[in-house]
Amino acid sequence: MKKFLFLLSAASLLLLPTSCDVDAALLRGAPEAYDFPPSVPTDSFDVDADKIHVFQLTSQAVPEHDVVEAKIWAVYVGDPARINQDTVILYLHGNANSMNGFWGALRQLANLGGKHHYGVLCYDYRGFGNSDAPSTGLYSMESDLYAAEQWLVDQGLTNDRFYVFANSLGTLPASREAGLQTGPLTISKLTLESPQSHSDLFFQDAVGLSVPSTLATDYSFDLVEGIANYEGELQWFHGLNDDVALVENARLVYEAHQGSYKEAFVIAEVGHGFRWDWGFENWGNAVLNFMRHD
Amino acid sequence: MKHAPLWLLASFIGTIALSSCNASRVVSPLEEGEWRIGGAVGGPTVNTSRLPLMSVYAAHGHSAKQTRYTGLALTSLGFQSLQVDAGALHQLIPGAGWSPEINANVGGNLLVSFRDGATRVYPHIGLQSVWHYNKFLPYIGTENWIDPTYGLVDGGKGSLIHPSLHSGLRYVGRWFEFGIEGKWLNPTRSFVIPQQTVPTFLGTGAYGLYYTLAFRLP
Repeated sequence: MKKFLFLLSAASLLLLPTSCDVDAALLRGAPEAYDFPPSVPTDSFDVDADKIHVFQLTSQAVPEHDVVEAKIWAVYVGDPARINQDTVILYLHGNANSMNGFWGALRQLANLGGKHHYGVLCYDYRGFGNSDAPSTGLYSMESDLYAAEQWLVDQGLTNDRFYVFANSLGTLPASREAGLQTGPLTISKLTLESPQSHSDLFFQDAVGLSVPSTLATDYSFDLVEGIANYEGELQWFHGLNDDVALVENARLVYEAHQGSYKEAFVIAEVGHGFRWDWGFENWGNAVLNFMRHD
Repeated sequence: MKHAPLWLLASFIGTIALSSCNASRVVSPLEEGEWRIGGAVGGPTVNTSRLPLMSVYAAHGHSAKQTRYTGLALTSLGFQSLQVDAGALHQLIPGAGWSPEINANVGGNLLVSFRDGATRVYPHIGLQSVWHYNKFLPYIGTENWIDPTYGLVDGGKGSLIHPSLHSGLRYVGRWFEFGIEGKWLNPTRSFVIPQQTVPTFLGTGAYGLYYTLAFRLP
């Protein structure tokens, strides 16, 4: 029996330092060369080559949460010199290798209401694209978001011309910040496209038991709490066929909102690729109308 | 974006490791005073892969009709969580000829997160029907986890009872025991693993395969 206890202790000690965490897999970006062509044959959202700016931002360290300083990459579509006059859309992208995969949406947003009518900023979270790795959860993503907001403030952006569009994974930092409002800019117009709800429910869907997410991850996100504290305007996009972020879970987020205005587009026969499935025109019109809503 | 996030699979691995995925610790009472110490490996199938969940356990023949056991899920430790189970198997009806021995097991499972101390307790109760053919013990059975905190699951998705059905074969030699067990996990519900396929059995639940190896200590 003593031998067994010894072996058990040894096995435990061997496993504990491995500290598996689903964070690393949850935030799954990958390095790849950036590719932002001014036009692509499959759509009409052409942008001018001289209005595509790829650059680096410095995302600050958050020592109390073991987050180190990092260089992250961003792309701005528009004229940075006009940020002090333009309305700017900050696009928080979903879980893909890099922001390359969202280039179509960025170009369409830039051209809503006319060619280069809006400025659009997108950035790669740590560990995505060529940004320093890795993302580690709430605080690294918050620091990245603040770096992007600070860059916009430095260029002259003010709260009244700031709009946030968050897709899938991007809804995690966006919803948290919408509730906290502790960043350089204040969010007062926010679109959540195909959001999750909270980390516990995500895990519980997998096993059915009332397990808390902290049994397997540090990344305890809670969009419901964030949006419950958000006082600004909210737009929600979701497909009924979404098998990545279940619509009944996301509805909890929408229902939690008690802010000044909200609208929802929950569309049948549409999956997690909401923009593709619903159609670019429908998507663009809905975003534009929301942006112009007073 | 239509990218398939692999993070979901990893998430599932993390969570399923914390659910009712263990082979039966013991299926028939041990000899009085006997210790049996072993391990189990195996898990449910996701896509085409079987999750390699590992656990170790010890069992002791408390009496001729009752065996007590305890186990530790090693995979959960890797996820910075403690998952232990403990219980007792009682012989209800001795077997005779083609009539199986009927045993009941009662116990509980404790899960504690090393991150924030979040704790869950899930009692379990099961039945085993075991036939004895020389050193071979084919068996069928059921195990039911009870979730007393099912109300914590948002959207009314929780449920009090989480059943599973299993069938297996144990070989009990002089010094060791070897076993293989197939399990139909939670046939009352579907496992929702976004963008991953969890093969079902008869259209519901999930299935898993487990191997056990234990040493007999008199």
